Amino acid sequence: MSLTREPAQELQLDPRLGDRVRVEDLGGGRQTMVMSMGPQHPSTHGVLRVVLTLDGETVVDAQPDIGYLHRNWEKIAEYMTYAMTVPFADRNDYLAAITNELVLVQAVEKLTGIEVPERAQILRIIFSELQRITSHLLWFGTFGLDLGAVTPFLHAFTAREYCYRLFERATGARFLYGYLRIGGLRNDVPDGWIDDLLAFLDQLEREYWPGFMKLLVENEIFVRRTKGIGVLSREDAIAYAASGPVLRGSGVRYDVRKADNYLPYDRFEWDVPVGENGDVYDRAIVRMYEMLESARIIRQAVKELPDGPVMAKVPRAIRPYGEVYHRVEGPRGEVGVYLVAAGDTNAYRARWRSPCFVHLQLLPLLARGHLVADLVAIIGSIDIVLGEVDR
Amino acid sequence: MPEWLVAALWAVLKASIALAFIGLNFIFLVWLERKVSARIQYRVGPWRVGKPHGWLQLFADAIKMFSKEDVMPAAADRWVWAAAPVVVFTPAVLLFVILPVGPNFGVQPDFNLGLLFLSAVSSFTLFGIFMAGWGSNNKYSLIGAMRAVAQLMAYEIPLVLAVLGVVMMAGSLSLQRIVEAQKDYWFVFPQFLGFIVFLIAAIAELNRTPFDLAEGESELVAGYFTEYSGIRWGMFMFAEYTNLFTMSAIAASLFFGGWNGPILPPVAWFLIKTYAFVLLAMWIRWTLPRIRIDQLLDLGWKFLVPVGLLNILITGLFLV
Amino acid sequence: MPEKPEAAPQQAKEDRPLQIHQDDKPLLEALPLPPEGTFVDPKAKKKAAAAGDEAAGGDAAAGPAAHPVVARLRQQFPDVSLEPVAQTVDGEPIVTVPAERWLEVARFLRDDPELAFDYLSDLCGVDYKDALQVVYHLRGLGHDRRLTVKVNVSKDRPEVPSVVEIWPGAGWHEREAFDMFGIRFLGHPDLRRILMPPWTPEDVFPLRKDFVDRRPKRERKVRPR
Repeated sequence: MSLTREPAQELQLDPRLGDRVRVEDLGGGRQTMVMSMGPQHPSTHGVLRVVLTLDGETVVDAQPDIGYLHRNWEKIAEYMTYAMTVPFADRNDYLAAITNELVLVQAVEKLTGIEVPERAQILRIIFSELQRITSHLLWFGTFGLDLGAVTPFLHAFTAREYCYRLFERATGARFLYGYLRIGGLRNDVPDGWIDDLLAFLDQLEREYWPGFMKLLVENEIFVRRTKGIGVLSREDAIAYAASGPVLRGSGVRYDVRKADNYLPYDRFEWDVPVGENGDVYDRAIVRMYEMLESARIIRQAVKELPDGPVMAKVPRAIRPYGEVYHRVEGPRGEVGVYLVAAGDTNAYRARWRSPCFVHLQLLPLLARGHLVADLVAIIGSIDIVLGEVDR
Repeated sequence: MPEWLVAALWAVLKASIALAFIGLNFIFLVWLERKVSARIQYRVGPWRVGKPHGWLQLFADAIKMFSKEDVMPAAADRWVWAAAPVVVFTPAVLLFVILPVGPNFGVQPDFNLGLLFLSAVSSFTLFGIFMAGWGSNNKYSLIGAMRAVAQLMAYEIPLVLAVLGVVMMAGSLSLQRIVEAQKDYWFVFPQFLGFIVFLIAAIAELNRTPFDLAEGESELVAGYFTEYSGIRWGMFMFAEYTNLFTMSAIAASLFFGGWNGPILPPVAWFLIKTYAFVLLAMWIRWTLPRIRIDQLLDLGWKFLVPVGLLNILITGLFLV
Repeated sequence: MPEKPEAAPQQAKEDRPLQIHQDDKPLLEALPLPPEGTFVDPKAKKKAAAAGDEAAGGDAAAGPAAHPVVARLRQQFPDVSLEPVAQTVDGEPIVTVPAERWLEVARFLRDDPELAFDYLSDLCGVDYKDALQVVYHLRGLGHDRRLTVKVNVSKDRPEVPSVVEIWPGAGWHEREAFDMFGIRFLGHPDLRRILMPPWTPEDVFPLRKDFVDRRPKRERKVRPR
């Protein structure tokens, strides 16, 4: 048996993995145990590896090890023209492709000074909010799985399927759309699409959402599993530049949609749900209510949807100068793009600011002192997409 | 024929029938679980293999399980690892001995130490689980096994306490007698507290959601049987589903009058009541999230044990 | 993988090796640091120079140098050169701070109640011909002031003070900049590679413009056309 005690020392699990883990003597013949959770593990949401130092089941330290999906978007974006970069940006956060496209497309529009038609602007709002709903639906499902409830996952996927049918009809793809173009949208939405969208929202608000609340979020076991777990204080949330539901779960009423108003969000009436304690439960609740707020925005946006073109006149080759840092509120938080343009068709430097990357570094802070089961809940509650963490 | 030979043949026959039933019951339960979970999750479940409702799927599953590669981890503790599925599997089958399927019908329903046998044999599973966890030499397995041990210890006691109330009312440890004592009314009414304790403890004992910590998929991959595949894995599943059936049968016998019932033959009543409990367990499994280990132990020691004791006190006062 | 001898032309037709990268020279070209602080369209610059002679005073007042954030910084640190001061295309001021004074300035940027940049939105590196640059995008909660800070470091000694103690969220961004550009952040508690595998050679920094993929060539059999 190799479960014998290792002497307390600086231990490297595998020199090639470069982990720094310490087996600590806890006294009384007890030692910490080092466990490598992932990259093949059911609840690491992709290919995340967490090097856990455990005292029994209590997490002493959790060090995320990332880079398994690294394909260096930033380098490849330097090789490609601005327009070619857009579909590739989809693959960063593959669960919220529209917001990825949006941030990149808007950054290029800022560089080139292209004015986007109003109809396209409103449609962009509709699509990014619909994307937020799908993304939160998927989060809801996988978060249920993390807590051991399988049924919410499939219920959420039923609703999500409805969303993806809508996306497919409008954009031609279910997942990675390539729908937003520099200067507008690829095509207008088909006839009758808006009615189906509203029907979906009705069903979401009347049937799915209350069902999800009853099935999982209001469940006593759920509440006990999540309250007081992984508390992120207000100060830490700001200092670590958390964003999106993680920041708002900690009680900070901050939303890039309100702060930057990168699309005409100020025309609509909507609230920013915030939590109180910054624990897993609050982050979950914030996401649940964000779905409703997104639905509310879409309803108002549909009413104000003007007629007109969805694509501006865009020069054939874009050779901008200057630089811009643009950010939007993705479902997971603040997605940012920093473009340095030096008069070429390619960006001189393209930087992707991913919210998940920032949130994942909170993991040791949140997980310390909790149980392994809580660690899984915490990973679920910060809602990471490894495609975006590694880029 | 000499009398002993008749007795021996009779015993062998009974055992073979029981084993055949257990085997068929297992694959039926797997299919049922898939169908029930599918209904709960807006799906149809098995459908293609065999019409209607994919009933041949159960055989397909079994064949698949038998034909899978049997992989033993290089660093496993060979004998412990190999023996564990058998050790888990045996008590599950043994428990069938005491089930009263009908009036004086069953393998040995009038076993006068029936319930003692139940608690003794069912805790035997623990060894197998721990052997699996230890022998796999995998940290997930080890944590799973540790959890299982803590959990089964915490829930064995309330289980026995809950049963004790029934035993006091029936005045016997034999399941046959207990069922006969429920001719007029079911014990679930006087023993409602006991029934609640029994239900929770039994689900925990079965390692099913919300108490499936030992195999908590999202945390421990598959818990103590992470390293098992093929038929060895199948034996764990076999034990799990057989235990589910046994526990349901015992719940039906202890609290819901077992085979007692009008019109239909006793065996039918027994099966109906048992499967009602099986369905209840499945319903619970596919609805609830998983509880956490500290909450599980709190629930066991701080809630179920006191309530079980209270139940015995109340029962005793009434009987006196 | 050992280097394979060059295949004969007849063989190459059957299994021609597919090259993924050119091995000897990088495909991208590094540009020198723009003297204006950001890349400016030369045509626009000429036009501005022609038009700016008479209205020079007015232009300077409206330009990025007069931005309240920059003015506040100048007032606090008269001895620190913020040049070149520029702005992004959407009007966000850019200042360039020397590395040796950066920590001090950063602390002021966060703590000063008039600036209160408590939110480090992003941190990244940029590679230029003559220097490496660290770019900080600062935001704050509760106000809409924005600031981009650039710190230039030489390629021989790419060392910048770490801002982890000021904005803890910079931790992983700095690791990434180290990973991708080889910029060493002094005082960072755990500066090691984050996205690249740990067995990456120590002098390989993929986002530098002169990066060359020197891994053994991967060969793939492709059907000859």
